Formats: sequence, structure tokens, C-alpha cells
Amino acid sequence: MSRSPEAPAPSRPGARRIPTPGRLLAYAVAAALVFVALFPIAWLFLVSFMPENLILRADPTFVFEPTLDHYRAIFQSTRSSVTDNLVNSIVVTVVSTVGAVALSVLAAYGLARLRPRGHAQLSLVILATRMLPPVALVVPLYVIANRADLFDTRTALIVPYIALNIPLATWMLQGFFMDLPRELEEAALVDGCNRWSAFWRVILPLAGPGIAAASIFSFILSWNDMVIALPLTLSDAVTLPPFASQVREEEGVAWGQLGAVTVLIMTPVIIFTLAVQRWIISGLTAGAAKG
Amino acid sequence: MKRRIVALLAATALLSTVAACGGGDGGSEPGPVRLLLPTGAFERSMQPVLAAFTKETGIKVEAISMPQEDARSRQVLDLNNRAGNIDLILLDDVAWLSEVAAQLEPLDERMAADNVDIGDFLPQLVDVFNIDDKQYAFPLGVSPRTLIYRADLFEAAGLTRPPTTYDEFLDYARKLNTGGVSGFVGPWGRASSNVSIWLELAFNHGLESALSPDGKKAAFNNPAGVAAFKLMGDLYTGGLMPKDSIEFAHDGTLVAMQKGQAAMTILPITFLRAMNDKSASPHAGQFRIAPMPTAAGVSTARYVVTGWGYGLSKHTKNADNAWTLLKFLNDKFQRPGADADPEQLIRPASNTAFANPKTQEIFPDGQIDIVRKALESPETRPGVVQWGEIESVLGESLQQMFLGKMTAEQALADAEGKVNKILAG
Amino acid sequence: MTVDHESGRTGASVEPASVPSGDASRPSMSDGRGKAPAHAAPARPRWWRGRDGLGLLFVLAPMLFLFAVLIVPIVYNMWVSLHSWRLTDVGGPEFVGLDNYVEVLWTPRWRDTIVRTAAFVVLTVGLQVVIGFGVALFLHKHFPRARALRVALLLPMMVSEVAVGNMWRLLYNYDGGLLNWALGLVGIDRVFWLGPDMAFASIVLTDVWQNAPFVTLVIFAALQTMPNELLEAADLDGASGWVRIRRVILPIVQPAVLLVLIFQTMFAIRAFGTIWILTEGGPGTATTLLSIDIFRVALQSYDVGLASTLSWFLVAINLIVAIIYMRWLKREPLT
Repeated sequence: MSRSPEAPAPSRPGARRIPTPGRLLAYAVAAALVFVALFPIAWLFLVSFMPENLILRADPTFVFEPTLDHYRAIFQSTRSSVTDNLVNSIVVTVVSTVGAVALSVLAAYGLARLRPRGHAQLSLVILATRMLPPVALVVPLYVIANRADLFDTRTALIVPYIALNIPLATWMLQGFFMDLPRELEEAALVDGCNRWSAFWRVILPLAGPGIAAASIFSFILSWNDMVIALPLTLSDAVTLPPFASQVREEEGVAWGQLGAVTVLIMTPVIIFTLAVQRWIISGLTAGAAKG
Repeated sequence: MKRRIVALLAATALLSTVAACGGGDGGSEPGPVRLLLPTGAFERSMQPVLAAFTKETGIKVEAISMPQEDARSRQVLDLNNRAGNIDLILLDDVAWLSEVAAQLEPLDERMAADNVDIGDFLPQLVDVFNIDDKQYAFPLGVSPRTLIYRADLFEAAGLTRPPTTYDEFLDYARKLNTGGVSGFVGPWGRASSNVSIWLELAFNHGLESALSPDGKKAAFNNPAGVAAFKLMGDLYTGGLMPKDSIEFAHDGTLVAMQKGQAAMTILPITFLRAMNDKSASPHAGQFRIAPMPTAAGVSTARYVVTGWGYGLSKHTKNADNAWTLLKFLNDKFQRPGADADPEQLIRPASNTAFANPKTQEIFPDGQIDIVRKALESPETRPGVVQWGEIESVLGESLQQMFLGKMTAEQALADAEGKVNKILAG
Repeated sequence: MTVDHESGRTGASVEPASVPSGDASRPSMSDGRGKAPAHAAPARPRWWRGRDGLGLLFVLAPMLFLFAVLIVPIVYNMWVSLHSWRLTDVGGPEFVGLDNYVEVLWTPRWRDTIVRTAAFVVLTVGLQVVIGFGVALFLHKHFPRARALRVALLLPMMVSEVAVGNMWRLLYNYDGGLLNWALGLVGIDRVFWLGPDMAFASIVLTDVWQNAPFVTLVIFAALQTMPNELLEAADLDGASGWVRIRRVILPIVQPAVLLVLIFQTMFAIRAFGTIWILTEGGPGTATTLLSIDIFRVALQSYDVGLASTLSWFLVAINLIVAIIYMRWLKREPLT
């Protein structure tokens, strides 16, 4: 498989398999790290299967008879259809991720490989557009969405998500493109490709890991967003995170249901992460090192 | 420069294409009647009624549930942009109504034309949704807040009757504050909840009105306002409330009562049923309501009434169906039948509702008279557009006092200055 | 506009292809490039000509998109910030010039928020970088191949803010939270995590929990590109741990650190969802950051004029910090 060119041949001191005391300590530290990182998530997972009367007790139980009540409750909710929300989330996220990454690839290639006059300032401008907090964009986006008759449509979410994702994705990809050896393109041009096909046929396929890394970040932003999704949708285009806010009632948070919704929101991200983790890591290796 | 102009033009062009894409499917035929529901008991009481409406009339209703604060800001956005995405506007008494009244259609003409009867509602409650002699909504789910206490804990402490003065009240709170149980708990963490409680306490200390009659100036920085402020502060800083109650909203307060962590609270009476729910609390059945105590010189207790109604958006494209639904709701909530949902009867607002046996069940042993009396002399939050903002200013001042950063006098004076600025601005 | 460029810049010389592009010493910007010695670019291939035009052409579509979707709201936002405008006003916006800006600067309440936001950003980003760096070094040294471990450490960053806020509210709960339960097991009194004394620390902790993994991952990735000989050479020289980190590792990972600093600052400065769910900015104003105030002012008080103004202060802080980083790490934005 194609590793990034600068990845070193590994022969690290720690790779030995003899369980020295130091090594054992390292295992203990690693276990502690994993525990800290995963425990809050795992606990919410457990809570989603926990009978309501066992949640938030001063004497917590870790052993209990799991129940599917909370999942049943959210799927049979009289409020809104979770499955519709799920479909909205998937469509909005996939389309906006593809759109954002496609545009970012163009921008990053243009800036990092072709390096036109003023590319440094341009890339700073692109990054700077991301500095305005989404909360500040809510009111103008709401006004525009209504004027354009796009309120409560998936498009009304897809378009801003693409725009919000371009800066970060462009930055990551720029670093990646800069690392590819220039000879590749030159060779392609000598072989009779034009510039576009040199980009399309030669460079783009090699940029796979960088693209994967950029897409996962775009995916996460779109999938998890609530600040924009809440005001710009009402019923038809509602995604999962706003749905999650409904479990907060006058009489208290329905923790079990909240756990269930959260599991529903997290699972696709976790699956996606596991599926592309190889490329995230190598994508970042290339992108981050230079980026 | 030229480049910038070209780019701007291109951007505008792109925007208009996007606009054109979406423009096609904005159909003009009226869809379902759209309204928002605040998650919780009122939502549950509305759902069966809405289903019955669709069954009876064939008119579809799309009811979208969300926490009430979300509903409030969405509606303001919708109305202010004349978007017309929401047909019936959820109103939390006059406080929300005054924010949006200019964008609502007064119901008087339609009521006259269709001979709508509202005579069975307590007239004082109908007035909650009236501004300048124009009726904007019906009182579908209003309720007063009052003292709720644990009868068993009172008995154990040798207290034979609820407190009637605030000295007594504080004294009770101290006596009940033992053995891991706090004397009192309240939603001290959320401005929209604790400011209403402060208002009610201030009224019962002799406050005339929170704002000047013309609504241009604060009128609460006086002995009554300060005494109520101070009482709330003393309860918390005196250790008579759970430590974490400064982050409680209504829900946290309810849960603390259900779990038996406190002996008294002040909450809207709607929560009584959830407390006395056997599946939610081991102390169910012990929760009772009592009239608000009054300070020396105040003859009758006064109650701040809040709660729900629906107004008709001026920008709706579905006004006739929406009005049909409003009439239906008026009828069902004004004259609840024998089959009415108990969730609806926790907020009785009409003679019929008070007479319903299920209402008596929720408020047994004469407690129902306390409810009735409270509703017959209701106070409301002031009907000024800026009340939401004033609430957050007051809420912040309250918290500064709870944290010991300001005395009651300082905190209220600070709030007064800010409120006057808001009202002037 | 691209055509001009193409014809006008055909003769531009470029740096040799072999110069690593991340090198800080390389002159940047167009004039610097123009002065680059011509002999360094032997027999430039023909495709390389006119890359200015082509480059801009590539950038055109994304830029236009950004322009239409973000710049228009941003300009609108700027316009609104010069007006006195409450959404509930019947009158509509009224031009007031810089009044809103003056008000923010002169009101202690807003000034405090700005200072608190700055403190939050410095603390969280600082902790994230220190912890993230430490963990990255640890992984690099002991588990350079353990992918599962990295994925596990990655998860907090994938979880939505809503979920993070709720799961930590569950843990921080004063009565039934696991943190206090665990403290109770070892005989420590309950801590009021979201109370006046601890709330700020608690939101920092949660933010670090969620965002440190990104730092770990990026720096780990950068460490992986480090030639082993460097470390070995340093070992031979007998360099101690700290010196090794400063002299050998830091220069290598510096670009990654810049990336991480800029991104994490951007995230920290507008942190909202998690904090909103945990504390709504309270108790008092203990955890009220700019983003919280912007939300409150815009969507609870409906004072969109003031909210827009506050958001420009947020952008200003962000830009200042970004520029400081770039100066500090002596590096061009991205060259």
C-alpha cells in the first residue's frame, strides 16, 4: 500500500516485546488514557440501556437488566420521526462533505501546487472566513434561507455546511498536496496529459489519504451541527442533533432517551471513523507535518 | 478593485441561482396547520386534542415539539421575517405576547363573527392574553405558582399548618432543614423561572407593580422588592437549599422534590401531579399545596400566573384552518369533558374544568380552592416587549447575590439601573 | 481577470522543485519569488508557465462559494453591527454608527466576558497542547504501531457537542454523578462541579477532554515523519529529555504545532454547545463566554445589533491570536 513518502522505516526502541517494568508502566498509562477517553462515552451508552429509575443515583449500579425502552420510546415518539431525521442527517452530511471536499481539493491544489501570486494571502483569507462564529451567522443565514424560499430544506443546511467546511479542509489538503513530488506532474505532462488530466489522473488518486482525512472532519462538523440546524429547519429537514434537544422536558431530562439518541448520533460517526481510520492517520501524517 | 466588483457580481449571481432553484416548489395551497409545542405536560395534554381535531375536521395539524426557549426564539425569527412558516404562535402569557403582538391578528373580529363563547373561562385568565382591549389568545394552559410542601415532613417536625408569614416561612425552612433534607428548594438557576418567583414574593411583600404604569421605568427597587430579593438570597446562602440548586431550572427542582431532598418549594402548581406520581417519587401522595405566605401589611396573597395560549400569526397562509383549530382548542380546554386528559386538568382555567372530578382528584382535600383563589386574583409578568431581556438582567443580579458577590440592595439597585437603560433604549 | 495574469507572468521564475515547501527560510509572496535566482530553476517545463492564472482558476470556484455563502452573511453582520436593532422592534434597524462597539468596550459586563473568553482560550488551548503533546510523545515512543489505541483516543473528538455536554452533565451531577460517587469511594467530600468555584474549571476540563485528541493525533502524525537518526544522534550527544524535546523534536513538529494552535484556538474561542448544555453560562456569569453572550443577546434578547458587534470582538481576538502565533513561530501563514 502506498505510504506517504516521508514515513520512516520503523525500528523503534519501544517496539521490543519484552515486558520490562517500563513497558508495563507504559501499558498502564495507555490503559488509563483509553479509560479517560472512552469512559464518558461508554457510560452514556450504558445509560441508554438502563432502566430509568437506576439513572443518576447516588449509589450507581453497573450491573442491571438492560432494557430497550428508551430506544423504543424514541422510535415510537409521537413528536417526530427519528427515521426521517436520520435520513436527513445522512443526506445532508454526505452531500455537504462531498461538496466541501471537492471544492477544497480544487482550492488546495490551486494554492499549494500552482502557487499563484498571492496564494499565501488567499489561504489566510480562506481561513479567516472560518473565524466568525456560527452563532453570528444564524440570523443572516435565516433571513437568506427564507428569502430564497429554502427554509426547512436540506439545501438550506448543505450550502452553509459546505462553506463552513472549505477552510479547514483546504488547509489540511494544502499541506498534503505540497508533499507530492513535483516530478509526478511533469512526467504526466511529458506523457501528453494536459494540466487538468495531470491533476485528475495523477495527483488526485495520490491524494486519497489527505482527502479521507479532510472528509472525516467535514463529515463530523455537518453530522454534529446543531447551531445552524436548529434555526434553519422546522420539520421537513430536521436532522438528528435538534431531535436530541427534544428529550429535555419541563419535568426533567429523560436521560435514558437522551442516551439512546446520542448513541444513534454517535454510531455512524464511530463506524465511519473506524472505516477510514487508516487514511485519517496517514492523511494527517502528510497534511499535519507540513500544514 | 475591479476584481472585487467582478467577484461580488459573481457572488450575487450565484446566490440568485440558488434562490431560483428553491423557488419552484413553494406551493401555495395550505398545508397542515403548524404550531409549536413546549416539551412536557402541556405538550402531552395537546396531543390527544390535536388528534381529535384532525379526526373530526379532516384538517391536518403539524405540531412540532421543542424546549420552550427554542420555541420562543424561532417564533420571533419567523414573525419578524414575515416568513409565515408557523401558523399558530405559542404564547407564554403576556410576556411572550407583548414581544410579538404586532405580528399577530387580534381575534376579536373572528370571535364576533363566529359567536365564540369564552364565558366559562375565569375572566381574569382571559385577560392574561389581552393587550389594549384586544384579545390575542385563549387561556389554554395557565397556572399560578404557589408553595408546595411535604405533609409528612411537616408532621414529623411538629408543624401543624403551612406558614402564613415570611418570618414563619423562614423559620419552617430552618426547622425542616435536617437529616440530609433541605428546608427549601427552587429553580434558582434559570432566570425565566426564578424571576417569576421573585415577582410573586415581592407582590406578597407589598410590591405594587414591577414597572411604572407607563412601562418606561423600573419600580421594583423598594423595600418590598429588596425584601423578596433578600429572602431568596437568605434561603440559599443560609444553607437552607441544596447546594446545587443555583443551577436548577424547574426540572431540577421537581426532581429534587421527587427524590425527597427538600421539604418545600415554590413552583407552578402543574408540577404537583408529577410529584404525586407513584412511579416517579417514593414520597408520592405527601406533596400538598398551600397559599403563598404574606408579609405584614399585605392582606391577600397574590399569585403570578404564567402559561400557554396560541395566537394567530399575521403572516400565515393558512389562517382559516388555523382559526378553526383555535376555536376547537378553546372549546376543548374551556369545557373539558369526562374523557379529558388529566394532563390537561392540572391547569384548570374554567368553571367546567374546576368541576371535573379528575381535577378534584389532582387537588384533593380542598386544595382545589387554593388554586381557584389564586387564579381569581392573578398577577402577570409585565407586558412590555423588553421583559425577556429584563428577566435575564434580574436573573443575573439574583445569581450575583446567591454567590455572595453583592448584597440584595446592591444587586437590585444594579438591576434597576440596567432595566431603566433597557426600557429607555 | 485570469487572462491578464497568464500573459503577464509567463517569465516568472520559481524556486527549485526540491526545496521543501514547509521551509521557513524560503522567501515567500510574489516579489520574493521574483528575485529567486534563475539558475535554480533549470529547464522549467512548459506546463509550469501560466500557473498564476491556472492556480487562480482552481481557487475561483471555492472562493466564489465561500463568498456567496459566508461573506454575504458576514457583510450583513457588519452592517447590522452598525445599527440599533432588536428583532422585536416594530421600527426596524436604525443606524447608530459605532455606538454598539463603544457600548461593548465601556460596559464592564461585556469586558468581563471578553477577558473570561481569553482566559478560557489560553487555558484550554494551553492544556490541550501540553497534554496532547505529552500523549503524542508517549504513543510515539511506546505504541507507534498501535492503531486501535489511536482510534480509541480519537473518539472524544468525533462526538457531537450536544452529546458531550450531556454526558458530562451526567458525570458532574452533584447528587447522582459518577465523579462524586468515585470521590466518595476514596473518602473525599462531594464537589459541586458546576458550582461557582468549580464551573469554569469543569468546562475547561470537558473542552480539553474533547479536543486534546486532535492535538495528539496531529502531533503524533508529525512525529512519525521525524527521521530516526535525528533522535539517535541526539542520544549519542547525551542530550537530556527536555533538551531533546526542544532542540530536536520541536523544530520538526513546529508546523504541526502551528496548525494545532490555530485550529484549536478557533474551536475554543467559539466553544458553545457543550458549555450551553452544562451551565448556560452560569452560575452567575462564571462560565459566560463571548459565544454564550452572543447567543443570549441575539436569540433571547433579540438585540441583533449588539450580538453582531460582540461577534466582531470574537473575530478580532481570533485574528490577533492567529497573527501572534504566526509571528511567534516565525512562519508564513502557509507557504
